[in-house]
Amino acid sequence: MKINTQLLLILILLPVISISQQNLYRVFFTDKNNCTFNPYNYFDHKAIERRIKNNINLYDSSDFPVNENYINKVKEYSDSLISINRWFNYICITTDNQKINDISQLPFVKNIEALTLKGNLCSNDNINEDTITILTNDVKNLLIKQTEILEGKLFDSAGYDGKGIRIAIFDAGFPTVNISNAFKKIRDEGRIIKTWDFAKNKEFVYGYSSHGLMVMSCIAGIYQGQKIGLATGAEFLLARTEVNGEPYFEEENWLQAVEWADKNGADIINSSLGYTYQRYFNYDMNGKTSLVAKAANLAAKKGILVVNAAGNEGDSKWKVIGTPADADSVLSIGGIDPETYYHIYFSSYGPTSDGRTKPNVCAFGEVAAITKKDEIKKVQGTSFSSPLIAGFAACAWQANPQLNNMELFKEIEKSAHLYPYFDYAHGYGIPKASYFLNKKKSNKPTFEFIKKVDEIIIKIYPEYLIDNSLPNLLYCNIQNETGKIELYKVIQVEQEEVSKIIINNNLKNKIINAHYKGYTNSIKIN
Amino acid sequence: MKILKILFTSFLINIIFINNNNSYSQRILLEQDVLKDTIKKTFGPNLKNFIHFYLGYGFIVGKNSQSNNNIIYGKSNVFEIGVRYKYKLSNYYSIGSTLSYNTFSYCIKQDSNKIIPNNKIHQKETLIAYTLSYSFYNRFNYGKRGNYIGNFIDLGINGEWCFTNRHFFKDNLGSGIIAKTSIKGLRFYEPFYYNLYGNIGFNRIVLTCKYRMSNMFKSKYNYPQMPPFTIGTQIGLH
Repeated sequence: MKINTQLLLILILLPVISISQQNLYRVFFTDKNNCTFNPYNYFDHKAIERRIKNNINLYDSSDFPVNENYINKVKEYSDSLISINRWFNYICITTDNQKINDISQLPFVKNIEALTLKGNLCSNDNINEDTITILTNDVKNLLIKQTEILEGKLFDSAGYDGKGIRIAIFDAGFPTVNISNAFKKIRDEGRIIKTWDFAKNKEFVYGYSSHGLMVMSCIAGIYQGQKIGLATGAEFLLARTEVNGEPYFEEENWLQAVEWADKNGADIINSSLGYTYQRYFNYDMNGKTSLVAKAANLAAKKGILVVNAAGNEGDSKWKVIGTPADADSVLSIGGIDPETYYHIYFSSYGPTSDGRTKPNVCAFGEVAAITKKDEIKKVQGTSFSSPLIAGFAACAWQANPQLNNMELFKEIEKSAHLYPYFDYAHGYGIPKASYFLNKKKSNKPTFEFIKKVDEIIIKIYPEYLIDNSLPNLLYCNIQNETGKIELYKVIQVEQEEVSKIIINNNLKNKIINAHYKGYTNSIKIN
Repeated sequence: MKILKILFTSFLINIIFINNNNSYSQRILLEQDVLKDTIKKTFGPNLKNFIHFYLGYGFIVGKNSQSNNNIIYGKSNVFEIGVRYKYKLSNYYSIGSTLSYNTFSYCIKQDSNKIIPNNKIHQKETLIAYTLSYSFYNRFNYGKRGNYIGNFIDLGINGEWCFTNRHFFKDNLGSGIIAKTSIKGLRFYEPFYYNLYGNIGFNRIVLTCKYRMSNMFKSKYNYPQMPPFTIGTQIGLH
């Protein structure tokens, strides 16, 4: 049979043509030589104050601008300049494969990282109107419970509402935040300090996805006099970073936004971004691989408390937290079920791939939040657990202004209801305001380990079996010599002798930890 | 061996943590075995091995071997259902194979030039080949990605076994009588032929183009060979 050579050539060339398409690249530079920097011109006064408070050098080279000559030279080979990143000394451009080879030959180019434009939505949460339920007593009760479980009333009665704390929110859009009654007080007092849409490079952020509106309401919204989140007195920086269907731009936007938040004096960043399988493998979730994790850690070094959702992959193949929730200086927030008070099915599990505890703490994974119609409705996602804790952190920081960001991070962990017990579904549990006000935690024994020759029995004291003030949940785990948990469980307690553990060689030198109603105890197997 | 050791340890830890016998009938609400989760996976969209089903639909295009247009474009189509295996050699290169079931339907144009399979004019006439196909391909991935198929180009060759065929035609006999005839086991078909193909893939969506390299009809019948190209789309079920 005669081969149609022209058509065959098209068949072969078509794929080749397709890979010479426009791509997104990060071009990293070797140095910041000849760059001048005046922190007093660049930073907001709050950012200067934070640096002074945390003994951070005002002339840190990471804050210096990227060399203009380098940028201009690379622009000659680029089709468009997407962004400039001071912290990591790179610019993001679009160009084709041929030109990027030319750029790589420039003497001041350190390395180039290619990003592909194709991809699907990788935001933690899609707001699906079908999943939103209408207002009922159930929703009203949830609204009260979501801050009550954090002991928010204690902050409230002590006058802590996050005043003086500046919170940056990175999200997909903030429709009606400029008109909603839930934020009237914030607007009237001029506490929305700055806004920026990193997707469109303009100030207006009050449109697009309502996800950011709901998130903000969980930090600082008020509905008919009831606080939705705890930091109703805080100041805000609103950044639109997430754009459906463009995850690589989103990541770039996030990197820009974190610099912007630092420059404009953010004390806390709340983000619901989470990158998973589309760009990474499970083993990349070590807090050191992704640039967003590195940026989040750098933000923490500059004195910002970064609060990030653990992710909603708990019931998917991915299962574990995404990045930047994997970063060690990021307070990663898991979700619990408001009905059962333990892990909500979709909340991503820890640990990080290098075995660190994540999530750090948790809050409700199903919350009541404000909608575009100024109604209160029920929504799900760790995206909403995170802002509840960001609001909590603002109040805790206001109450303890002497703490730096990482001290506050540790104190929030210590305040949580399971502490010092932890596992990879709940972290240290739900933070409690009482800890920040009187530092007292009940440590009354509620159970005991009964050690026999070849078994250990966990026995609940009878008075704590009938006490229904807290859920009858026993948390227990097996921890190895390196401190990592190998197995953990949550058990519904219905009788005194809850669990029997048979001792054999596999348990040698391991520790069994258990927590029940505020009391944690451990036993080492010899 | 390491995986087996981890699984065995995990199993032992599970059985020593007893709370489901009669005297310990507490409800376990959550249980996570971290050891099991830390076993390095080798099966996944961008891991060592991956296998998935796919569905494809396309159209037959091009001229026949006598540079004539003897089929009706748009109505001459290909349906495919198959399973694709991929073995990853590097982040940019994989090899693999597919096994698929295909139906090629050639809707014959009814005009005076018609010679396949005869020159008789019908109201509608279709030649259908049912084949099993096995292919080998090279996959070139591009772009950074995680455990995700991502963007790719496949170049491959496949062999096709036409295990059966059918000649279908419909005639209007007048007085409202429609005759539908189907003849199986046509002898002018070659039982085996082979193709070159290329795919451009964007994760689940694949654009495919196939070129038949060998004759479809036996040469002794002197039939013009059917157009060699098929273009279409596949959807990866993964």
